[in-house]
Amino acid sequence: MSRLLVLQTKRLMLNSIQRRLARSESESVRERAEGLARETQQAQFRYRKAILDYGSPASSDYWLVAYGRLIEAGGALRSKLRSALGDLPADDRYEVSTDIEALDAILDGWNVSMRTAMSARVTGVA
Amino acid sequence: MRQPHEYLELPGEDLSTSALPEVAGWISIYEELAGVIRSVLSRADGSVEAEDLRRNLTWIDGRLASWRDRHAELAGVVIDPNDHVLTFAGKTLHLTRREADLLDFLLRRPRRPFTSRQLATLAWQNSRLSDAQVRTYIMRLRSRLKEVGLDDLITVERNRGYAIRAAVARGEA
Repeated sequence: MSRLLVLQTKRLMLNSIQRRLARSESESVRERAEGLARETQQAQFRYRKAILDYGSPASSDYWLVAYGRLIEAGGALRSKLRSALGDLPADDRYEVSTDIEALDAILDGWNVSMRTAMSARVTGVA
Repeated sequence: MRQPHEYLELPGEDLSTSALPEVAGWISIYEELAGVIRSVLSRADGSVEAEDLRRNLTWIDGRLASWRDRHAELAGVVIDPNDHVLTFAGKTLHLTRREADLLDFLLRRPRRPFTSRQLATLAWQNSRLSDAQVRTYIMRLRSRLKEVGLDDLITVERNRGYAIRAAVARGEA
């Protein structure tokens, strides 16, 4: 819970300073905004890690974070495979293409599951 | 199923050598994805979601094994699992079982460094070996690999351990 509070606080501070930056071109404000963006990212990482390590799989919060992490890792793999596709020998290109298609299907499934967890969270159903 | 686009190799170009570092990179990302799934399953086994995740993990593990085989093939280093004979660029080298297990373990995890302790446990399933014993094995293996032109196949990364170097092209050391 404390990590969530830290994350929410950082986000509020970041939103506030980004509004200030939009009104003023101050270098010090820009630097502060960049620093807060980094801190928010770190807070996000720590919160997600805490949920994955200690959160209850009976709650939709856990699955929101879990599927988020899975989609991130799966998406990174798919991007890496796609970027290499054009430079490979024919046999490897075919293997990689089929891997990409299978990953598309897996990621689609995870996205559906994540939306289900999100709905459950919004409606208050665990 | 969609057919992949057709790309032509340039005259004299051997795309298989350029694939080696790519395949090595994919292996580490497949491993990361498998690790994330395993970590979720370790907490959520028995949940409704677990069955789908296990199926996903089975597919990923299968692809990982396939790409590890492909990496070894591209690297041109083949180790016969029965008689532990290593073949590279037309030359052969008879390895001991320990040497073969160690080299095969590292080849299947390219560019990832492992400490002596990790190698003893993961490559040999023998945590009783001391770090000094493991280092001796590796030094001897590295020396022997020179006989087939695989100097520096196993690299030493300071404070991180031993790893297979990034690229081993066919016919080159």
